[in-house]
Amino acid sequence: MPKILNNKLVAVADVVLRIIWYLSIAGTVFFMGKMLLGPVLGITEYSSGLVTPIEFSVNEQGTATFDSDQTVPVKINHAKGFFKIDRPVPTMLMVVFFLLNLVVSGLILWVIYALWKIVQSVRQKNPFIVKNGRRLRIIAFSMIGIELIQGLANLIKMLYLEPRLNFDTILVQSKIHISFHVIVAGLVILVIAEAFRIGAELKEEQELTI
Amino acid sequence: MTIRVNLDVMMAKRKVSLGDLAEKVGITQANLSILKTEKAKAVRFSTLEAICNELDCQPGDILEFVKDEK
Repeated sequence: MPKILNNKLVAVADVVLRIIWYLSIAGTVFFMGKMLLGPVLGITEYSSGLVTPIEFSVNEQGTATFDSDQTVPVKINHAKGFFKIDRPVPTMLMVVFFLLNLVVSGLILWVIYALWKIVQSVRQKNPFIVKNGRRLRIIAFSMIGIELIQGLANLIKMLYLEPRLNFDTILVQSKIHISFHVIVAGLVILVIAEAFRIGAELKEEQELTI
Repeated sequence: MTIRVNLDVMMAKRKVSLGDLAEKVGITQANLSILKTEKAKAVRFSTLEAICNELDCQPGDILEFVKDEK
């Protein structure tokens, strides 16, 4: 790839990450603020309702038409969606989900910030620094952490919420989703972070060799 | 740090300034300053040889090993 194109891609990544960072901060403050200040401001929907994704079994049948003469039957057996438990939700459950969301939001913000800083150092033609090794380690641990926390949230849903949900036509079936792709990607980034750290140390040593 | 750099002592003895020595040795003043202030992590034999040549001294006059007291 030509060098100029590479530089432009890095510049675009810098701008995009900057925008995502500020939007994420604004979004997190907005939603967390609404949740926390809900009772004060009288917004009960955000302060006492619980909205969370869930999986369920359904038995829907339909058709798919590919050509004008070819129609085949289609079935939906398993689906994902969001459910909202209206107030009053048990306080303990709200607190647990609020804390889990808070931690996940924090980790996502941390990842975006670390990535943005790495891109900035690449733009300044100085990526091999010890700080970047640390930032990559933050990204790796955060990715693994987010996945494990979401697994924990699924476990809570499966053990506590699911037996309490009753619907006429669907059967709620939560699963513990821990994406091993993300865990492996996190471990790969951890190895790259260590390589970065060693590289940065070698560079520093080389620079301080007179 | 257990290796002490006595470059400033030798430079004072020979009455040579940092800039002059850097120019004669063929390294930058900034790098020579790093060596003088003991911030360097390693010294090339070629640099040491050039410094000894200019200051007319032995490596031991510039570098000194000090045992850590524990």
